[in-house]
Amino acid sequence: MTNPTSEVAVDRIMNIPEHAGASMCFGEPVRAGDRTAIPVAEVSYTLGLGWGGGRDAETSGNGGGAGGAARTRAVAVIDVSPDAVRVIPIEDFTQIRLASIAFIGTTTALVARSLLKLVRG
Amino acid sequence: MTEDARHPATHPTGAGVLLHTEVERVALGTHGDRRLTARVEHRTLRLALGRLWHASLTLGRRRAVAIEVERAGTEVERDRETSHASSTPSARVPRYDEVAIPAPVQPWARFARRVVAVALAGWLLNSAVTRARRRAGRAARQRTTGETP
Repeated sequence: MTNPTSEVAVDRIMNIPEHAGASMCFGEPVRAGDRTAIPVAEVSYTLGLGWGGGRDAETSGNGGGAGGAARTRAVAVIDVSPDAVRVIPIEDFTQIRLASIAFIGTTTALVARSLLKLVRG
Repeated sequence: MTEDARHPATHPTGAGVLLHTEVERVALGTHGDRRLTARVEHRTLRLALGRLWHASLTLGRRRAVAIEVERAGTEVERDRETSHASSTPSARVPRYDEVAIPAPVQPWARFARRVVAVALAGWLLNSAVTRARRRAGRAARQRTTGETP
């Protein structure tokens, strides 16, 4: 990368997540009587960037592109009661069930393939 | 850019991997008589590769790992807590309880590990049986033809 402007742009793009504070992992506290619940989330992201330029006079010029994705999911709730502070984990049962179904299907296919190979010699 | 600057020797190829972890503390306010502070772990993995072209990938994750629960009026004097002599004997430090936030279940990572284990076990069983069959066939041939190994 030779263009200082593009370097600044790349630096800005790659540092977007650094500017987002850690407070984004917590939701607004919800009060109910003398108890308070604070939602907790996990934030994950991916950023990709590519830049290229010509090597000689015939193929001069440069260009690039960038892309990214971010995902937030609830992982727990902090329960503040007069007696104690507890953390209640949130489990994503849909993902667990989907993974279990995929595991059973893949395992059945693998075992069937192995058995067929053994039977056929 | 001059012709010299375009020469590959002036643009050495480079690659880098950087794994970085930092912990931030976030005040969650006072609830009842408890002051809550969260510890948030921020992990990033940066991969970069470049010469005349450049490519980079950043993977990051921000996750709360623990809550520090501090009760009002539970500050203790520093010199009572530490065995070594403190430069400021009257300094008061908060005493807090820590509540860990468990890492969320990753069902797809577990699925991938199990599938790899099953595939490996199947491959090992298949290759062991095939090898045993070949050995048995060779021994049978030797017996019928009367050859010595």
